[in-house]
Amino acid sequence: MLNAMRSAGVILDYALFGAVAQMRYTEAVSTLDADVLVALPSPERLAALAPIYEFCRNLGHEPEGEAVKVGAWPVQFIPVFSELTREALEQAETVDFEGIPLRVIRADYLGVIALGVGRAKDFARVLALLESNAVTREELAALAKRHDLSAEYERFETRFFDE
Amino acid sequence: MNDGRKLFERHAAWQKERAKLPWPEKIRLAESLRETLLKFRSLRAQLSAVQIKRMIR
Repeated sequence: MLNAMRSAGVILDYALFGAVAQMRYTEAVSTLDADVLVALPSPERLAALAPIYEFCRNLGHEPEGEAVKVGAWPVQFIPVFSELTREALEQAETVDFEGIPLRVIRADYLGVIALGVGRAKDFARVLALLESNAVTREELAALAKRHDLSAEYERFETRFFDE
Repeated sequence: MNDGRKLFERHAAWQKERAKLPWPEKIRLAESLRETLLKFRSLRAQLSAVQIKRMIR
């Protein structure tokens, strides 16, 4: 559906992020929905996500709150909201998902986006990515620095790694 | 090393192994977790705190 949406020009690009993307690197985690980062052709429109909902509805996937129910999963479409997320989408990897090419945000960007959000579960996400060796502390620090998130990274370091 | 420690270490190693499962498999696992969580939430909404404590005991 996501690839078809892109081919139809409803979105310019997409990539999975959040918990579903994290699971590429870590063990399975509990999550209630699937998050998809999208680049829109007209992001300045008031109802920028309306074409996405319409496209989904035409395929039989009805909106459910702020998400669209696709099979068992409520899928939440989130337009790029910062330079970091824009770059994360550009740098996303195309991976094979049981024969279907799927765009997924890279581990380093997942980590730094999580640092920027800063909830307890986001820190847990960063720690899980580090433990799985999907990303290093140095890579996170460098990417955080490039996106003015050094203070957030330092807080994370102090909280979890300082003796 | 005592048996409890060995069991704990085996459990930790098994958890790490689960991270090596194929991604689609992990998403299916997450789907099962999600269904269980939703059932639990729905049950919690129906039951009083007293009933839940009684069930746990």
